[in-house]
Amino acid sequence: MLMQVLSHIFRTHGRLMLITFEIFWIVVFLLDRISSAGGSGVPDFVYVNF
Amino acid sequence: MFETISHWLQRLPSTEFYSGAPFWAYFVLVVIAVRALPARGTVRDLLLLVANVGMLLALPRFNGTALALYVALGVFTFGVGRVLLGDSVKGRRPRILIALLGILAVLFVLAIFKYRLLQSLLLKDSSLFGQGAAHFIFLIGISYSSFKAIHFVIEAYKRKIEGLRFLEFANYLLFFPSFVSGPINRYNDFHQSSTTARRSSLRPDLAPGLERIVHGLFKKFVITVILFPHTIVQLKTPLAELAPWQILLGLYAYALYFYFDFSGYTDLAIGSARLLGFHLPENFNLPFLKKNIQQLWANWHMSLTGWLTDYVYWPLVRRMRNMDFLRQHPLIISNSAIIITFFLCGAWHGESVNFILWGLYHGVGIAIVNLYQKWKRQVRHALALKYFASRLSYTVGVILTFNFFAIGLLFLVDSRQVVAVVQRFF
Repeated sequence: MLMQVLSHIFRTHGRLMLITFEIFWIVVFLLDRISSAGGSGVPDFVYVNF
Repeated sequence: MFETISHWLQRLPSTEFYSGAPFWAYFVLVVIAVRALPARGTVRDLLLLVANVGMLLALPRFNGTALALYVALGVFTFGVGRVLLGDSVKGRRPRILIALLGILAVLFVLAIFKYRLLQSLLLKDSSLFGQGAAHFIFLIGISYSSFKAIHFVIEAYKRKIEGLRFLEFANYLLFFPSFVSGPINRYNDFHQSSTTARRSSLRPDLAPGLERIVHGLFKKFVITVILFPHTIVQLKTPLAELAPWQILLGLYAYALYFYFDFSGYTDLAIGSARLLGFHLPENFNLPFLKKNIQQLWANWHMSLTGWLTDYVYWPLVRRMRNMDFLRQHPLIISNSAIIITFFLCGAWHGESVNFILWGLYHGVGIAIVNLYQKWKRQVRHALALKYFASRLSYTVGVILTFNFFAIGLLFLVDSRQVVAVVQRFF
């Protein structure tokens, strides 16, 4: 029953949930980068030098 | 004039595409400007061209000289295309000659800015490009612009270019969302997109464009940041001192990093183009869930593999089919063409031998898959047929393919370290 409800919620709002999840982590990582000098650095794009 | 504009623009903060805050500030202004204009063709095209040029000049390694070179390349390619599409040159031979001349000229420019040896022989003063004298000049975007220019010349030779106009062609060549790393779009698709873009409002493109940008940012700012320290090139211990499983995990992380980095870039390019009203082709379709290396490549960097298939692989196959001694052996034709295509793909990725070996590794891998497929078609055993159609066969295929791809990345790692690993284990 619970699985059915969860599956229904995901089918109806899956994209919104995914986008919210992604935005949340983007903000967390960016804040980490801004707030600490030793924060996680973003590597350059690999294919830019081709 | 370009130098003046460049100088003026260089007072603004320069920015790498998609990763710097200034980029997004400029990008919002460009979207507003392009979308706010009335839907009049030439004015819109002109504004888009100004926006494209402005964005390129904001790149840290792009200056007026680089822009002048692109203008020359664009004018030359457009001229060749116009001649090939017009009626002034009649006869097959002169048209072939003009097309060949156009392609060779573009390849020559590409080779100069791609290969150190050629550049050191032909270009003495690298300070012109603002990268300091006696320095290898890296002309950003040259690979992808060359691919577009060659595609344009070939399609013009076939008289398949639709609605050619200079402003639209210039925008096609310098279109900033795909300028640095693709996807490699085709001229007719761009022309169609451009026609649609003139009519449509931002509303239908806003949600899909932003959604794609969020996917790209998540891949770039979250997933690759997590993966990068674990990739084989970032491991602190020399490879020869690591256990095989540690090397393998480093390679897996490197493969996933490559995928998320490049597909993230593609998402950002496609999403940004969409906000401007343009549709760019897809570049990735879950390549690591494909059951053989041939399918992986058909779904990895698709715009490049599509380009190589159309302009290298098929012409080679057609030429070989005309040879009497090869006509009866289609598998030899197909495998030779695929190995040559991947040899060139490797040579394009870099000038050193390891890139060529990497290309050959994949070419030979696909040739082996072709042989296997031929053998599979001859199998009649019921149990084997059941296995081929099963989920287990698919899963085994996916695992083997991913491992083949990941192990191939060893060619792109420091070759001395790889030699040390090989010496240790064999």
